[in-house]
Amino acid sequence: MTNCNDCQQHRDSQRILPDWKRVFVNRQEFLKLLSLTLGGLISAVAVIPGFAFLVNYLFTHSGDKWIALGPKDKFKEGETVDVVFDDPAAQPWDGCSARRSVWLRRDENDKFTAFAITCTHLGCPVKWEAGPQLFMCPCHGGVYYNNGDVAGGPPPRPLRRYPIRIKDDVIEISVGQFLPET
Amino acid sequence: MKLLDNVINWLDDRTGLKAPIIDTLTHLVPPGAKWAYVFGSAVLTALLVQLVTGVALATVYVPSGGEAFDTILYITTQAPFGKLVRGMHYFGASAMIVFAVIHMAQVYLWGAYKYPREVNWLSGVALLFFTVAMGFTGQILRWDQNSVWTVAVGAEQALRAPFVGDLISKFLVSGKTVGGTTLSHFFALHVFIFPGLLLALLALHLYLVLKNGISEPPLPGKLVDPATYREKYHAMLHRIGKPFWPDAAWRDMVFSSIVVAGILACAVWLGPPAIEKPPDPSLVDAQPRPDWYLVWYFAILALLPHKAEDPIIILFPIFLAVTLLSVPFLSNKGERSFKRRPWAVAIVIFALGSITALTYEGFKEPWTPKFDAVPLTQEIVGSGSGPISSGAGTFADKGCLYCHTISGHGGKRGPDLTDVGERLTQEQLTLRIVNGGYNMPAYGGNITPKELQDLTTFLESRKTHKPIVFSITDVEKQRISAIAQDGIAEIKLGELAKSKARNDGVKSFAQKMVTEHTIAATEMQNAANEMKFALPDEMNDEQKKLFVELNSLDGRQFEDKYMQEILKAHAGAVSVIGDEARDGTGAFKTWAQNTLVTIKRHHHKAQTIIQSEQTQ
Ligand code: FES
Repeated sequence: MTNCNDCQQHRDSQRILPDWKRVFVNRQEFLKLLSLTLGGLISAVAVIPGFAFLVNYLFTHSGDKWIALGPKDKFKEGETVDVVFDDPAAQPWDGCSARRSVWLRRDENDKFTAFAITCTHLGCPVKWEAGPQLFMCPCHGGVYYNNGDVAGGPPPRPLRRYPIRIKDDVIEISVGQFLPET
Repeated sequence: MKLLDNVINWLDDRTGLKAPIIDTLTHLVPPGAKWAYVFGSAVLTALLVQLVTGVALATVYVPSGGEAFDTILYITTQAPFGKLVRGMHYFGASAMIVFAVIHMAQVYLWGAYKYPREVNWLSGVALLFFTVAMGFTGQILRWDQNSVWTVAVGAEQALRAPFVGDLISKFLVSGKTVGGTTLSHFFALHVFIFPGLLLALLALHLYLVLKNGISEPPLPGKLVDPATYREKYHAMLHRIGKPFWPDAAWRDMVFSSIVVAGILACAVWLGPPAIEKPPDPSLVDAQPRPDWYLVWYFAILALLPHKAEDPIIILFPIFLAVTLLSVPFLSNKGERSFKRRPWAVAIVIFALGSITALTYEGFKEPWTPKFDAVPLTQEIVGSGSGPISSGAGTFADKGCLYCHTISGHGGKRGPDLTDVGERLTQEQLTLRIVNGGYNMPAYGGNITPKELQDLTTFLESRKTHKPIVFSITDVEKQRISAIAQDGIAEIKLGELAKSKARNDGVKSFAQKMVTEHTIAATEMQNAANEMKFALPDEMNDEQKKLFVELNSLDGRQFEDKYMQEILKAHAGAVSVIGDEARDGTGAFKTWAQNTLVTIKRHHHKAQTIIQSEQTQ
């Protein structure tokens, strides 16, 4: 290796990344830059749409619809019942996994509350026990009063509630967002 | 054979793979590794079972929210070999986790993660993570009620993380709520993404095993020095190394055969995990639980004090990951043998011990309300009408039984109330029921005064302690009576001596006799009450005679006689109370044991007084 030019060329070709200072003066360095750029583009074109599709649920908004739970006279005062409905965001092939339910309480006349069935501890479904008038969680024994407040056990917060309205004497809820805690 | 040789030679000529394959198979390994080194290959074997059975299952399974459950049911109940293959896939996963953990413990104890094998360890930790992740995602693909709620529970935990919680939870359920989208995303993870990453990591892991060589069994005192380790290792291999095939490989093969046989046997006899109710999130009657290898973590979540929850739910997984990943950086040289690393041994024992204990608790689930508690029978309640009986009714109606056990019926969430009547009064009970406690709801708002009254009456009647009646023998009866009469005599004579004696020593001794024997007599009466035994209430004839005789004496004569008689009486008492303390029963025996010291002291004191009188 007496030829100095050879040395330089040999060293350059051993390096994967281009020598950034010489990318526009040396052909080999430029080709490295070109190939790297194209490789990045290919990956981006393949990955970005694929990934975006994979997480497309982040871009859908369908939760703000009002869901009818039935005429208000169906519900007796002082009672809490389990009302089943279909997730408005679901697809036809979701089958029974599209079904949802809510604990609906009618305190008096037009005073309704819709409780999410998930325990605020770790999300197990709570059960309403009419005898003691309590919601009980099967997982770690979390207990809530009939107004959703924590009565005992590990849950850190009261049961979550959905926005609710009465339209033409029909009870409707919206499951997009929970009501703020009072 | 000629043909086969020709084919091989042709292939080798065009690929050049023959030499590398042979080199790999026969690479030198340290001798003496023996059976401790078979666990890694056991995981690999179980993984092969997973790949085959997994691909097979994927030919029928339909990853849609509406159909997955039905296809799993079809695989399990109708498809030929379906049950077997599902069972193998389940127990294969269990085997991977079990042997991966054992493999890891072994590598840690043998110090095999030290220089130059740090990256072997890191890739192993990542492999363990993906193995557990495969297990978890696989459990979700079962897509029954338990799967649905297991994801929901996972998402709820993610929500606890600050800032990113909401996003993580959305990633986990693929949207806002668990549904069909959740399943199809879990399918992609379980079938493409995780296996791809896992296989890539596995390739790295195996490459590193070849590159860095299998670690030699550690010798206490033989330290790892990064400057010289490689050189010494290779010198050792050349001196005493054995070819991997077949000198070491045969053990791997034997052990792996046992593992596969075990997977097959479990699949045949135990079968795949039962399919529960359909994945309908509106069925609120669910009790989600992870598969067995995560039950310990589930138990931690249940047992945490409420206040500590948020930080632990967030920090514990991070802590685990950081700890495992930092192992080779904390100590990558020096001593390898566990005989000189007591902390390593302690850590492994502690970790495995707590996981076992937590798993046990997790399966017992004492924190879960027992919604299907068997009602109390009339026999347990002890009455078929009246307040006690209606109180027992309230106890069941108000859900008390879900959390409290009475005579073996009921849940274990709250304290056992079988004998609460012995611990708490009715007022205390009322207070607790009305105001509630840490885990107990306050019932003040939804119980009528009458219900409360009956309930506490019922609870107050919960007593198991029955007074134990001792039958005492005639011998003991006589002995007890005699002791009691001795006691009366001591008091009577003491009182006499107090008024008659002039010597100060005798006077104060007599006073002591009166006080201390009165105390002893009271205690004895208590014992007698407990033992239901009537004590005599006056002296016997001899003692009466003695009293009269002493009464007729005066001065020094009285004092001498009194002291002599007391000495005699106490000598007798020491022996008879000693007998009682040794052979007696129940409260009398206890009394005798407690009193014996006092009587001995009296005896000794009497002796000293008599001696000092005589020397005067
Ligand atoms: S999930 Fe409800 S108490 Fe833990």
